[in-house]
Amino acid sequence: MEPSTEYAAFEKKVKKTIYLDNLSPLVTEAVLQTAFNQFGTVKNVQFIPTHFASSGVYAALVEMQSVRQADEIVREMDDSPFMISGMPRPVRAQKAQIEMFDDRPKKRQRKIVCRWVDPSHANFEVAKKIKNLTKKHAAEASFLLEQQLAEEEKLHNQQSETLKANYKKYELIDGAQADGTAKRLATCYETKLHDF
Amino acid sequence: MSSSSSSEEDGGIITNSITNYHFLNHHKVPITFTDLPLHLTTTTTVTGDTSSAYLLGTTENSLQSVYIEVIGWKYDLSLDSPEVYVAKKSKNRDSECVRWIRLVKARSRYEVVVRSDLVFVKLLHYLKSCCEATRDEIASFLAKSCTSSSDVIESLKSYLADYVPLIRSAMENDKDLANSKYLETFLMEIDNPGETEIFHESFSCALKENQATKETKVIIYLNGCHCCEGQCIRSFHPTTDAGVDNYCESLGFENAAQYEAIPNFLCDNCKFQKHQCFACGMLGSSDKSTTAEVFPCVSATCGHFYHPECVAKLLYPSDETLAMKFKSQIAAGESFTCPAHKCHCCEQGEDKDVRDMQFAVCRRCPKSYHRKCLPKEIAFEDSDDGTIVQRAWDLPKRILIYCLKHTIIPSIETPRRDHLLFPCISRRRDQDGSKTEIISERRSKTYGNLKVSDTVKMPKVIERPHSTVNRGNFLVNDTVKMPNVIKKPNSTVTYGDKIPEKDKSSNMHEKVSSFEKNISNVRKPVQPSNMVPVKPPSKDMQSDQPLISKPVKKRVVSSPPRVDADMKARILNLMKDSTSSFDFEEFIREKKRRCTHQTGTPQTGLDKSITMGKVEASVKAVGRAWQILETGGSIEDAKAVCEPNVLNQLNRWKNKLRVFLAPFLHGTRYTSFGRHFTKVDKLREIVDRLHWYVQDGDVIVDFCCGSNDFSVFMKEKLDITGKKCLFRNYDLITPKNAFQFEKRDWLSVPVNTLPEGSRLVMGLNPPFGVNASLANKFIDHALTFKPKLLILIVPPETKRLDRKRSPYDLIWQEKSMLSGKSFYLPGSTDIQGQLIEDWNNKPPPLSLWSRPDWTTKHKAIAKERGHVKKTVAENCKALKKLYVGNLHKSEIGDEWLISVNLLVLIEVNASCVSLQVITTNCLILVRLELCRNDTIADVEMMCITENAFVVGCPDLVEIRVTECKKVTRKDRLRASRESLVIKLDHWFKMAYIVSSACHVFGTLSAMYRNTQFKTKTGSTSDSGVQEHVEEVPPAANDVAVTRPERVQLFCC
Repeated sequence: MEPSTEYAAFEKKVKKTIYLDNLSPLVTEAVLQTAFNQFGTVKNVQFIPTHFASSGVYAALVEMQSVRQADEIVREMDDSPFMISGMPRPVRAQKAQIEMFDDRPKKRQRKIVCRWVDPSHANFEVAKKIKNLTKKHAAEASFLLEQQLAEEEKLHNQQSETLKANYKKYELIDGAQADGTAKRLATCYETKLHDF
Repeated sequence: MSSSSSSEEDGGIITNSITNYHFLNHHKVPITFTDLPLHLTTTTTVTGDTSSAYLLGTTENSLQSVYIEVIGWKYDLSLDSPEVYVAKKSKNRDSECVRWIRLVKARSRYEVVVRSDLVFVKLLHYLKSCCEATRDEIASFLAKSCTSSSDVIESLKSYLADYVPLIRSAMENDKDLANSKYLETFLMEIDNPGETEIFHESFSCALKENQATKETKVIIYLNGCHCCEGQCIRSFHPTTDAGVDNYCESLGFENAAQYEAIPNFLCDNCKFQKHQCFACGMLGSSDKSTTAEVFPCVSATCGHFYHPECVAKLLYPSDETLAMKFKSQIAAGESFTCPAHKCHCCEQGEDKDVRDMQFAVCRRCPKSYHRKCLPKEIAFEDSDDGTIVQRAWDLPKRILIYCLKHTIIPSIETPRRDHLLFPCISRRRDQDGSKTEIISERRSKTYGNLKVSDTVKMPKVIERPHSTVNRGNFLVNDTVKMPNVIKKPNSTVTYGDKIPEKDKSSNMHEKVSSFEKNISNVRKPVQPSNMVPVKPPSKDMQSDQPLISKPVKKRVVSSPPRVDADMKARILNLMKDSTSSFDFEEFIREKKRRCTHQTGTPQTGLDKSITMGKVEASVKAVGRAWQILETGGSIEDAKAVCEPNVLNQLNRWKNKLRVFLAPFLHGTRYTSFGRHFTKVDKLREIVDRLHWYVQDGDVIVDFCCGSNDFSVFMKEKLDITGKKCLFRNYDLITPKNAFQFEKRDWLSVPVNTLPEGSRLVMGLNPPFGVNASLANKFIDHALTFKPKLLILIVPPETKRLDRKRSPYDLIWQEKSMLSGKSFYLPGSTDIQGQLIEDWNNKPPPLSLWSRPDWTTKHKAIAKERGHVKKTVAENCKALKKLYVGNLHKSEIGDEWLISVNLLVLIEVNASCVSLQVITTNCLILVRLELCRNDTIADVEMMCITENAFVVGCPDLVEIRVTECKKVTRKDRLRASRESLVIKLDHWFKMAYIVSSACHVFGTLSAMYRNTQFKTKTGSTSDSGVQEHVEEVPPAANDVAVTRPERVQLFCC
């Protein structure tokens, strides 16, 4: 059975879409629109849920006009860090995947019907195996996620700590210079203050 | 000024040049000519170590041997190869004329002595001709010029450090050298220690130099030290590897990634706020919120703590009452400077600029000596008989010593290294069973005291020649363990007892911190499957949880899966594999390589040496120093607290922090890639102007095309006018409209990719960079193509193209075209979702430059199309005087200020451009007065004088500069014209002196015959001309642009 035409269109759309994460909570649709309009034409922006929202990191899908533009952006952002909205880390980009879309159409027009299987049925063991395997994968994924969350949290704390400490230094120096003491002192010393 | 005469005044020596030479001092010891005073000009000299020496050698042509007393030296860089001359001592002391003797070739055995100095002169010569030379270029030049292998200069910086005073004066006296980028930054670094200076900070390990390094003048820079953020301002060797070379215990990290991950590293002393008294060595609490026992010295770069009684005793050794008083003052919280900031011998402060007055600082106790006051037992090298061991190390920025109180242990070349005391936490069970935390002490391990070699088990001793480590006075009591505390500052020697927990805790830090990590994430995204928002089946989670708590070993096929230890280990392993496959350092290297024109970008993190402790100390010291001055203290005292360098350093730090914090300071306003595009309507305007100059078949190159609009517009316009041109657009980031676009860094575009220069029209808006550094690079690269036209939007501070090696001519410049909101930040929106517009405080001018051979043609077009504005000069042929003052600063531009014979500029932002035009065009200009013009600096003054002499103003007799802060040197302006008087007032004064040239007097009087004279002083000035002061009401034939507030004119 051939994939439906709707699905084919969707696949095209996926190819034109980039997945962004490490987005700041301050980022809005308009911000993304303008941010990416410099590389191409943004057709659609869609924010999607992520596991790392607890550490203040969001994700979005941005659909561009052409596949070329999407590829270009991914390469561009891989090359140089792209900062949006004062987030202390650059935004990451990769090509979107089919599974990222909540509203994806069915690939084939077919129906899935559930039914009970009797333990004596030949397929009973197979079904059970598959069921357990799925559960196992889920468990693994959740454990991995837990670890990642912990790491993400740590990273987040580290970054904000560094940022705060540096900002405090900046404020301190700014304070000392704002009241003109440094300048007056330089005059007394008869040294020239360089303005770097 | 070379010795042109070869008179036979003494001993019948007829010579201009000496070969096979060497120098001896009065004790017959070979010295080099740089020990003599350096004569830069006829008047300025730089004093050397000795005032005179004897030159031995043979004359070049007659091979007669000579023995001459010489009293100075100079170099001549103006020829193809640099020449060195020495001044012969003349018999009668009064005689002004100095006879210079050229040095040809050193005696072969003497060459070793003099080689480094000759190389230095060569280097100056090279820099003079090539002021853009970078560090690497200089290094390769030196490598080339040093033919023999023995004088390879391994560290340019430490090599040059020996010549700082010479470099300074050479730069002051030579314009070309002053332009040398490298020397400028080099001196800046010398002036601003702390950025690279790590020597004056107390390393936990001792500093060590070996014999070999001393000979080659190379100093081991203690690589990669890790700074404590706290008040102690110390640095530590972070890794065992770094420590090994210096027998340093180190912090015991394994690699850079580990310690980089700690955002704010504090040493144990700072963490627990328990610091050692630098006098008695005991630990005391420095926590001001409770009861502090030790107090920090207020000096910005000190970082030492003292007990009040200890420092009082040191400062007032004989006077007990004073000491008591001082002690109570300190205990009450008053700030103090410790004895290390006054010479132990003469009690004077330090003057870093004078060699003899530089401090030698003891690393173990608060004792400093001037270089001149240093006792001879504290020697820079071991004496031959072994009675004196090396105690002093002469580093580029500071001399470090161990004073006589400390016994040097020969094997490690320093005193024992058990001087550091760290607090450390121990957990111990109390009688009632509850855990308590006790802060105890841990002493850095000693390398000395070898006789107490007991047998402590060393789990891991790094093999070193001197590895008999012992614990010396290890104060840790038996119960002390050091659990969860990451092992921190100990000092010296091998890394002895490794804490088992360390590995785990370091694991914690394996994740690289901050931005580096981010970048790493960009490069190595986590497996997509993890990023896909898989909704974890909540039911499973619940059912799994109880299983997690009680792991079951046996596995039944049919039972539901569980998260057991096996699986965990497997997943953790997977994670570890994926992170370890990522080479952090390689990644940073790669990024750095890509940054062709950035240095110290935030990508590699902020300079770690800007620690909180240093910032706090500096800021506090600034305040305190000012307080001292306000309460009538001497400048000396203030300088002991806060060296002049500190002020500049604060500026530097702030700047670095600002760059680093830019994305956050500007918050949502921050532009993605920090780009800056010219607005579309402005581009159209530019295109409308430029297309007249373009010919059929030209190639139009936009070297930083941004949105690529310029080329598109240009093509439209040229298509309409029927010219067929080719286009090339370069940028780092692919634009939306990829018309003739090539993704390439402009600086990497090779010359042969574009057609010959006479078909090239290049330019537009390059990134500016700090101080137009990037703009300059872009322009320089563009110039290698020799385009016939360059159109530029660059900041005013960019180096002008008419001052380049191959100068270009300015066709026109539009200062105000790009003022206002002419730019936008691509990809950034404001709160309303609108594209953010931007403007520069100083609008970057738009300028069109032409290759000299095309200038006439282009100028004609400009004139035809009316691109060149009519100036005051052209319109008002009869204008004689122009008063400009008290106007709004931006109202008067360069175009305005042209031509008159008396020009008074008050608070006008005139720059080289207008001044150049004025001085080249105003044939009748007699006097120029510049008052309160902030834009006028030395460069402008040079521009005035140079132009005035060569072309412009034959009648210019006086330049008066008043309250122009940036004008500093009068001596450079004087140049050759005798009749020109330059008066430089920093403070507004009423009287001034007029030129000595009498005909000028006539001219001027004639000029003012219509105005009333009011004699203020009847006194006669040196030149015999009377001084007058007059007030002139704006006369009828004057153009008064100012509001008629009294304009003061001075005239005779």
